Amino acid sequence: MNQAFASYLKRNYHYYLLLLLPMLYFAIFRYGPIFGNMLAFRKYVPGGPAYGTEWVGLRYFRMFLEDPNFWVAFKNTIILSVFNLSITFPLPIIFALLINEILSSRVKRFIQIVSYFPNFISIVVVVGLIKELLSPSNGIINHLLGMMGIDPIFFTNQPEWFRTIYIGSDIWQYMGWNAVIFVAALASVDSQLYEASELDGAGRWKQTLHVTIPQILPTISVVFIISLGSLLSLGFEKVLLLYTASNSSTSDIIETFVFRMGLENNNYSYATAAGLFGGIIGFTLVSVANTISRKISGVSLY
Amino acid sequence: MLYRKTRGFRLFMVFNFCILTLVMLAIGFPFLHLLAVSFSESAAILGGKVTVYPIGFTIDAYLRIFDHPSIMQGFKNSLIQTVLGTSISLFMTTICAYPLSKKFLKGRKAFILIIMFTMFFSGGLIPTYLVVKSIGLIDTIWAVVLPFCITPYYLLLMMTFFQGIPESLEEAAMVDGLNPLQILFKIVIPLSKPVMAAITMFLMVYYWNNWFNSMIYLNSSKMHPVMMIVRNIVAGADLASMGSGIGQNDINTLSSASLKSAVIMVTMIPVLIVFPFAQKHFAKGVMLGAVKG
Amino acid sequence: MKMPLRKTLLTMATVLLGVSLLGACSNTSNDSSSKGTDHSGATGPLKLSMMYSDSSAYPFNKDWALFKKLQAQANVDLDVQSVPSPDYNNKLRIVLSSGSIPDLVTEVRQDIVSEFAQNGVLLPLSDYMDKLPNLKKKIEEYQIEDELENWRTKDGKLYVAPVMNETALYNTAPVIRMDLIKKYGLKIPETMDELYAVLKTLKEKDPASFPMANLESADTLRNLSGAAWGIDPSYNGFVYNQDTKSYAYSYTGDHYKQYVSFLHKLITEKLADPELFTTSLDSWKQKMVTGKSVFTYTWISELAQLNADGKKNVSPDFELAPIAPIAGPGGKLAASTLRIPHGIVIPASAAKKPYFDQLLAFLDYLYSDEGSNIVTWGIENDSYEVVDGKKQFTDKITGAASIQRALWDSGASNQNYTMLYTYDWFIKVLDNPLVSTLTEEAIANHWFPPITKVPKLSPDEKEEENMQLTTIKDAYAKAQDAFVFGGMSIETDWNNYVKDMENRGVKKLIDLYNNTLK
Repeated sequence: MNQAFASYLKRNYHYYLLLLLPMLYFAIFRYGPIFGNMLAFRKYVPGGPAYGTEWVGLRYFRMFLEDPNFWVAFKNTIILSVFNLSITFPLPIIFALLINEILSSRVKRFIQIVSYFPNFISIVVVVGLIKELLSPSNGIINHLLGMMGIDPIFFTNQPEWFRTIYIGSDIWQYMGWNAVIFVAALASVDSQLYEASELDGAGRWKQTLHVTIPQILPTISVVFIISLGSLLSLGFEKVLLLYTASNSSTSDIIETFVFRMGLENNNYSYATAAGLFGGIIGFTLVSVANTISRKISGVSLY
Repeated sequence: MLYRKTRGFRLFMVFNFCILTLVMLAIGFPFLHLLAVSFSESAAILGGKVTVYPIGFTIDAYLRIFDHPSIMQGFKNSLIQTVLGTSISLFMTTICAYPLSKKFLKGRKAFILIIMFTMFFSGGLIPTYLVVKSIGLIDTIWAVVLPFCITPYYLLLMMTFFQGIPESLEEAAMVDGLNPLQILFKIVIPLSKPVMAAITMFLMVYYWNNWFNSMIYLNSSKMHPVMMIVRNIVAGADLASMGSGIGQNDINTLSSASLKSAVIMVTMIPVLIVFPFAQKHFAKGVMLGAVKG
Repeated sequence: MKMPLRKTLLTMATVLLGVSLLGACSNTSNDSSSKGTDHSGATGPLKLSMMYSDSSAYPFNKDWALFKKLQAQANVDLDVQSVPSPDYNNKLRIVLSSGSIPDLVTEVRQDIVSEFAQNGVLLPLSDYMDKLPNLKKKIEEYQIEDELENWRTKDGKLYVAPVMNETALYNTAPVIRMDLIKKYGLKIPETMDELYAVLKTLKEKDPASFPMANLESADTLRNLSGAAWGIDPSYNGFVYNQDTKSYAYSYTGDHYKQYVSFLHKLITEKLADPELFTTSLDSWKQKMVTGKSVFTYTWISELAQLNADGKKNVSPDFELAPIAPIAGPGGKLAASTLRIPHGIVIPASAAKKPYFDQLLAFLDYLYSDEGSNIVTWGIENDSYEVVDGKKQFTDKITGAASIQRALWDSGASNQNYTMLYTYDWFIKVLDNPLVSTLTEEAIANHWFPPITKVPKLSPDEKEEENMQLTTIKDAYAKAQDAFVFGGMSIETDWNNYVKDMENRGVKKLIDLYNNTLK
């Protein structure tokens, strides 16, 4: 046994050597500050000790778990996330597949670069554009509706429109950028596989189904599993900017709620407790998704 | 290639063309609008007259940006941060992802869990600040490039790509007498160009756009990146004009809309310069056969 | 092939060396940064570090002439750590929490002072008043003790060097299109009922318009017009009543009910912009300069540009002009103006530094006539001159595109280190005769509302308050939107709203605040 291990080590020590520096990194910069999470159970006074002054048990957890507004925000987060994920997750894949079909590599590159643009426009400006476009008093959309005889709709203030606006603008802003990794995956597919399937007489559609998709499936799975893990963390800044008292019944999500309750008031303990709660949910989701993925497709993170 | 001649394929190409054109228009219009606004005079913008071409052409907004006393220093700092940060990140991510892509590696699962754990449980801003401070990195460039150099997400992506490389290639190299380090640098990395290019691009954009870490960890103005200046202009334009009782009538001679748009255009220039290069690498497919032979 | 052992050890050693070098080189930098700056003795100028809120309107430039002059006169060398103003409070909290605080921290707001003062982070300046003679003198001269009292902690100590305005200014006003008033022969509205009538007439003349617009948010409108309605100024809605010597919540009172009823009426009759509570700065400007809206509350200093743009877009007669406060149930009152917007704090640890006295001397210099002159008026016979005993700017300044711009570009009128704003200076900078005449009228007719009394809370009480306050603010904002836009009926839902607010913590907070009075 010992001998077997020694020979294993002898063969593979290079791998551990490579891991040395990254693990040192994780130990210092990721696990070093992790004790900060203690604040969830301790009282923190601004300017006082960084790790709090006294133990208060589950006080801060109770504070939000017993708050009905938190559960409204929780529900909103789940609904928005699930809608958002089921729409914005497949679109970049489809977009990447469509780009992949373009024959001219110049056109391909041009389309890709243009599709990245919105990713670089800061959220403040994007929300500004949305509000300008949808304004009930001088927006273009309401102007067009007016010509069709429809009364102006106050899109940005009505709870029933919030999710549409959020998801629509997310597609606009990130579809091209999120397609990057799938384009890279498509480029990594061994071209021999295509040649082989062509010899078998497969059409383009069949090739896509039987060669392309299976080849990029691991990437899709990994991205999906990780997206599930961040289910609770939506585009906080955008939601905050789109939030109004009137549309709050759908637009108040966990992060905006915690922002108002915890960070705006400097209650770090409260914010930490809520962060820990979100972390536990995210970690559980990823573990479950990983297990399911391993059973179904054989792809897993660990 | 035979399939290209079928009717179905031609129909698909028409459909594809329409969809992509639609996407281009949806992205292009707001972008052209911003471009037009950045070159228009305040009265025309506020009059709601500017659509996709400038009205009352002016470059005042751009002059205002380049008038900033430390804009050039900012570009320089951004460049240094981006190059240094991307190199370190790419290196660290690669040497971490490669061993973890080996399913036979003992302790692999534990390592991955340790890493994944940090995706969900971070220490928070103040504890992180205290760690960075205790190592003495505050106000040095390392505070911006070290604490965030491995992103678990990119790590897991790279790991997945490494796993996609056929075992047989590495085994053959092993037989030729190469050790795992040599295999990584001589075979695996060259074969992973598309994912390397994509992740390089992600990292560059991250470092280029990140003003927050610089704001928190760098005190000396001499080290501030251009995005910190940009941040101030984009978020501060509204605040400044509604000062705390002091008449700040000057700022309004420039529409904040045109200033913001101009800022977006300026910061996008480097992106436009770099991307076509990165693009080359993942637009082309990889020929595994070529290496095999 | 395996790597020879020697080579492996070498690799490991290199890696470790690299790591330790990294540590080492950062250690050296740590030493210099923890010292902050070198404080040389009497020979050279004293080096002081200063945390600075960088405004995008006048990005920090160490070569500003007056900034240099200030340092030369005071014999200091300021090491400015600039932070973008939108993120200033974020960084401020981290810096104050982490313990390495620069010698001078500028633009600190009242809530942050009260948060950190009680935990021993900040220096109690009131203990050193003998070393700050100019500050002491100016506080007495400006008769500002009422407002300064809100900055003191429970034990009466002052932890901030306040920025002070000599007098309150009538710098925000109801603003109306005077050309239209004249054109249609209307009377300038003096009461809310008259305002309603005027808006109604203007709507009839231009049915596509929304006569009243508002800048940014519901809070802006309430801040600018609330005093006249008798609901502001307040501490988050809580008002101290002089007669009963206790706190009360004003946003469930009768005056507030009248306020939301009025706005609801304007919205339903389309007299007010539907985006009343959600207009961005640019979109609000657009509504004003295209004539879509003709009445608003705003800063008088905004008007010059609005009028210029309006003349181009609407007609050469376009004239938005400020008017006297419109009287409501609370009386004829203007918006409340803070005479102390923010201040400079010094870390408690500075008291042990060898250059402590010099640090205080520099702070005090900012309050001296000489020091405050440099950062407001500039240099005599260069940027200003004295005519008949009164200061006025020279052509060099008045000839510039704007006085404010010219001052900023020379390092004056800087919110970070200008501690005193005198009335005569302000009037010259604003360069708008309306502000001075209206301010004089305001002082003569008592248009300025009284100052809110901020309850003095201990850290524990503060935490308790925070949690309650957020819930209350949320519920208040939602109800306000609902009442104004018709989601709730003021007739039928009002009593439920009042009860709901009380249950959400209004009662608890009133008790908490009243307790502090004992």
